[in-house]
Amino acid sequence: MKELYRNLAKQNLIKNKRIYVPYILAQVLMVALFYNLLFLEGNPNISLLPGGETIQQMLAYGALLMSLFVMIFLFYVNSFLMKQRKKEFGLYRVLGMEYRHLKRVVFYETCLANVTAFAAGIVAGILFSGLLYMILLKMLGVRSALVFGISGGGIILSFFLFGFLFLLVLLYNLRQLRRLKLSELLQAQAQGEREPKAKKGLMVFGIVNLAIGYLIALFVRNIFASLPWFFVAAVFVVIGTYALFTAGSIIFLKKIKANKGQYYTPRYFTAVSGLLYRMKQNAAGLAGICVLSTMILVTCCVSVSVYIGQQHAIRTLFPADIMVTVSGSTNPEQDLDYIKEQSEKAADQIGISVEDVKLGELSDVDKNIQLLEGTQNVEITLSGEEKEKYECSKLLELNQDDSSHTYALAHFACKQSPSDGTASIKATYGGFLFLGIFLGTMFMSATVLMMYYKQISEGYEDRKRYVIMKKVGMSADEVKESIQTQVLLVFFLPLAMASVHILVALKIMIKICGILSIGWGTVLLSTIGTVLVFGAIYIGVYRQTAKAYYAIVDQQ
Amino acid sequence: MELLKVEQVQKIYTTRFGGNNVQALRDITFSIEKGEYVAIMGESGSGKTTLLNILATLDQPTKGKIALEGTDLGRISEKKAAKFRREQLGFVFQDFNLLDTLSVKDNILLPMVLSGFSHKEMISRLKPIAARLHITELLEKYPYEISGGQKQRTAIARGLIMNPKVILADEPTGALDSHAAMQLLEVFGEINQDGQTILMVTHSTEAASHAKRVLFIKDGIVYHQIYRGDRSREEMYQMITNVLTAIATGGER
Repeated sequence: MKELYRNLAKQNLIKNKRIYVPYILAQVLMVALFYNLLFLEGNPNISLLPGGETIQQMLAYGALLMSLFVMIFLFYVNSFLMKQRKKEFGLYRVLGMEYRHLKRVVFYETCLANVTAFAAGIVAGILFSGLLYMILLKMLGVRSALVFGISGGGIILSFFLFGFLFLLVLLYNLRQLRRLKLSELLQAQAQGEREPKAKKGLMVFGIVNLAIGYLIALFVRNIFASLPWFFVAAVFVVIGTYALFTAGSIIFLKKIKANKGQYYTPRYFTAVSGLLYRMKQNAAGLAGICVLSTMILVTCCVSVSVYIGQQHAIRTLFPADIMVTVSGSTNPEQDLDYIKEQSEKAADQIGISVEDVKLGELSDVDKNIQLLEGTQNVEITLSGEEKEKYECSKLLELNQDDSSHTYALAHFACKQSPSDGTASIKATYGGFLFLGIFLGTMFMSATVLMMYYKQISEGYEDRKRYVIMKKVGMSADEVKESIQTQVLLVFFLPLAMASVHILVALKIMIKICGILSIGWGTVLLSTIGTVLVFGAIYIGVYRQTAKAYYAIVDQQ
Repeated sequence: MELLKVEQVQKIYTTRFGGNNVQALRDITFSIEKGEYVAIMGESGSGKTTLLNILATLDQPTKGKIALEGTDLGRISEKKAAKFRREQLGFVFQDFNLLDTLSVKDNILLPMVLSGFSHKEMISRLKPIAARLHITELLEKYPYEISGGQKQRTAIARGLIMNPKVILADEPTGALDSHAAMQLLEVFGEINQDGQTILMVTHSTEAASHAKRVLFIKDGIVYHQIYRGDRSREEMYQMITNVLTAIATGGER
């Protein structure tokens, strides 16, 4: 008996491969990406790198947001799958299967699809992680052989997330099965969804959430203390976007419908009625696309800004050849003299001369970090080659350990030459770029998949409608036009909303980049550039999707 | 007055790789006068549906000529065909072909919307048609909320709203119970009384017996035809049965 259920489940998946393959592929991708986030987040080698801990903290927040996203995304896809298959389940019931039989088939199906996807995702993730690790190290400027590591914690955490998701999906599917009466099961697909009600309350809820998220983002003062707040703001914005799209889109479409002169025109009639008809599903997808687009834009903008602003940042952070930070100083003049003496000694040994030794100003970063009393920056300018300057700084560092000096109170917290500093900056900024590219790629592929998948699934749903409209007297051009209106609306509503999000996020981005001594001009320019590039890719995807959509609708 | 003229129409389907040719229509010739109510009968595979598709400009004949009031349907471009379809022809399908996304009212108005009528004009045309088909109370409902008979009456209203030259009906009673089918045929009779030309493809003897003329198609040709004349519906039913028996047993014409 068990064998029968299993075979049936397997057959069902194969028979429905057209809709199941994208679902499984999406899940494989999500598992692989999620595992990699955790893998890099928990990798001890990375935490040892300069700026590694910051990167890992960002990765951890990324994983948190991603798990939220994965839940919504996969749940949305699953609900679509169930809807497509209601008729099939109805047929099984007619053929004499009871709920308890069907329950087992659905159980095996859900298991088979999810376990396969999870296993494949983990394998893909592990294979991929070696490559990602290498890329990250290369960007950080650290040379390393390919290390083939497996993160047990990553696997376990992924297992928990996707196991939880699996349970949710299973419960949802079983509930769907149980709730429906046989007659409804058989008609489910033809019946479709009822026209949704305009939920004003939900729209207000969405606006309030958005406002809270925006306010947090706009009134953040100290960026160090408020990095967690940034993610709180992001969560508010995500929830607000979902609520606003769910309720707002319906209210918007109903408004068009209420305007008889506008609604009863070829351009809006079929598109608006079609959108309204299954807006509940649409809205979740639209909000998802909007959130994803925002994430892509933010990550890309920051990493591009950082990359472009690198040279400028080095110059701002290291105005002199050697920087000496003195903390706990009681007599700055004496310290300065001592450092002058020491640096001249070191310069003599190398065979170069000291041009200038002066007290420097504290940078913005130093002011932000709570420093010990009496902290001073001393800037030393040398004459000579880069290499000689570097050797000089090394000597100075060694001389610090000379216990014969009498300035015990003066403590040399750090010494850096630009070449050392540049390496460290490159490591941090390289890390940022890597993170940006990684997250950008992830969000981008998810967006593309989501947009494509969404339109394809709707294409299948719409095919019958367009066949009818053709028979009744709609020309191929009119069908194309109607599809374009619909797809355009579906695609560019999220992009418009994402642009607003970006505008608000710009403030935080400028602040984050400010820490790295990158000016707002650079951030603004790279934001505009990123938005343009993203827009171009987006339009390309839109074109391809509309084409695929039309091909499905046009099929005989 | 001659409304529709079908002359020596032939339709050959070629499989994609040039394999077997299937001759769906061999040589069909007939004509329909304005105000006629004609049923076309034939078994499955006799070419009925192919003929209807060609009449509906959804398909082109391989040979021959079809003209609606002098307009050659074979030489109409795809774009014009769509306009022609919604302005000159009214359709009634076996499975209703209503859009689930539209209310009954919007389903009926669909062809008018596509043709760019004003909303006022739409409502003024809709009212009398809805009243006559007894669907006025259903206008705001959705297709999944109404019965099969009501759906088919909605489809007829959609077919009539553009004042078409001819109504093409493809097995209109096929998905209805006998009571709803009876009502539908009565509706067809009434609108034909008002001067509406109807061409109905069916294999229901009951349905065909309501028509004023019945054409029999077999193996891609018009095999036989009978006029109702002054006969009662019962007599017509009997005659159709006789012809069908003759066709089935391969008897003489």
